[in-house]
Amino acid sequence: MSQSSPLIRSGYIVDRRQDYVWFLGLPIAALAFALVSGQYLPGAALAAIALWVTIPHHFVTWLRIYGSPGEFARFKERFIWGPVLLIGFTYLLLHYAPLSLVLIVTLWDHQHSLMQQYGFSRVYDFKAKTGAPSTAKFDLYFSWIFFVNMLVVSPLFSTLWVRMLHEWHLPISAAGVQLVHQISWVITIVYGLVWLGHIAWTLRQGYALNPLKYAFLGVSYFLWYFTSFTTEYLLVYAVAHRIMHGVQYIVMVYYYNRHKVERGAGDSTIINYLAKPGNIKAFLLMCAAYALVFHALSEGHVRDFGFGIVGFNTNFDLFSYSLLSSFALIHYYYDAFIWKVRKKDVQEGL
Amino acid sequence: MRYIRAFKYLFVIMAIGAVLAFFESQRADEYGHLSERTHARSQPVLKGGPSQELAQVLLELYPEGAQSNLLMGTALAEKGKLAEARVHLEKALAADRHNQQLLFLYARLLLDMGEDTEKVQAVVDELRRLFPRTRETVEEYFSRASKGKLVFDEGVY
Repeated sequence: MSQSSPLIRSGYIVDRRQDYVWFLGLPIAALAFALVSGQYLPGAALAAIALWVTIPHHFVTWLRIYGSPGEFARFKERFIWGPVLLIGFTYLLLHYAPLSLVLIVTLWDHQHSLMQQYGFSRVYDFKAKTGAPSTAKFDLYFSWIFFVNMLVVSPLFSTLWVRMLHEWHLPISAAGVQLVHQISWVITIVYGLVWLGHIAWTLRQGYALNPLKYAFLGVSYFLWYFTSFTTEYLLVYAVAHRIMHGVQYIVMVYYYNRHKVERGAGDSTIINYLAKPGNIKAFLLMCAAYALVFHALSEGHVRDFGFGIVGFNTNFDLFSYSLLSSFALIHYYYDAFIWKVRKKDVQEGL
Repeated sequence: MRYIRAFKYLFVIMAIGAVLAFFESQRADEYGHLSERTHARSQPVLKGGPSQELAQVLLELYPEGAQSNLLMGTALAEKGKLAEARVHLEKALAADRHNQQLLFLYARLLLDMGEDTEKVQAVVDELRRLFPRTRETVEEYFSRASKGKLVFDEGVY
């Protein structure tokens, strides 16, 4: 990085307008929407909002992988055997050890959520060509420490993990919880200062910064901290978080496919069709259709189409319910290796 | 070897799952602190003493919290201490009126304490409005529990 580079350099994930709407404005809008709907809408409506965002955001992962021969060929074995193993794994855990399944899904979901925001922050640095070589590592530790602190100290999540410990017969006293809170705050504050120090060091070394990245991290963490500290209603957090996480993911995959097609790297008829700017309605309709089919499967409504033969036993009920968790786990699993910003074929779509 | 390398991340997750499952079943058998599941889609929950211990810890941390007061209210109601349970359930309601279990328990408690029908009806109607999926079950339950005093019609909404 040359010393003559401007120290503040903006770069966008999509473009200026889309970024302000989806990556900077959306978390604030999602937060306001969740707080208001938490006051006035029934719990069933809040759960439906969260599902109508979450299920389609899984679908775009399947579309990216199974809709593109090139993507599919990259990790063929994992894309064939991964779902089989994870559906079986989820079914067995739901049957024999339901608390273990809750624990795994919850922890993996949190890891997946924080890594998505971290991944977007990497894209901001990649697009603006900003940050020092060590920035990725400092941002990764920032994401982990600040997110885990939110889980550890907020009243919403403290109640949940203290409850989980008791369910596992690992009881903890109130004094023990307070000690954990204090330790977590100390680590977070100290690391926050180190992170700020690293930003100052980055500037002194002549590396530029992308202010959009910091604004993006700021609004994301504001949404998480604000909801988990000000409400005890888990669905308010779920709605705010799911809208931010799910919609940003859908936007990211949509533009990823579109960029690949525009740059001549698209290899699939369906993605070539859906990535055309005029076909966004078809893209959204497919997302909605998938959500309806998934709902019929996971809620057991599919038994109504089973001619009285399919779906009338406890195992089917358990299996259909396990789809909710297993599809989430498959999504987390795939996302762990398909979005490496350092990989050249991923960079083609950014 | 190629397959092991390709799936190592997944195998680690599955190994963690297996260890947790072993640990979970061992502890459930040893301490008997969890209730049986009533349905394929339900989770086992804490029962009896361990549930009250958890409530006590949460109350120390969050005296005005919805979850802590709900848990304590439930534990006291199970012991038949209805007046004390009511105090906690009302505190929980002040913090969060969107909890199905809380509204159900509070309505049942009011009924058991012989409160006015209108008062119970208001809570049950709130429950019906906020949780339409279980409306019929709730109506059936409270109609039976109140020996027909609570009447439900479509006009409430």
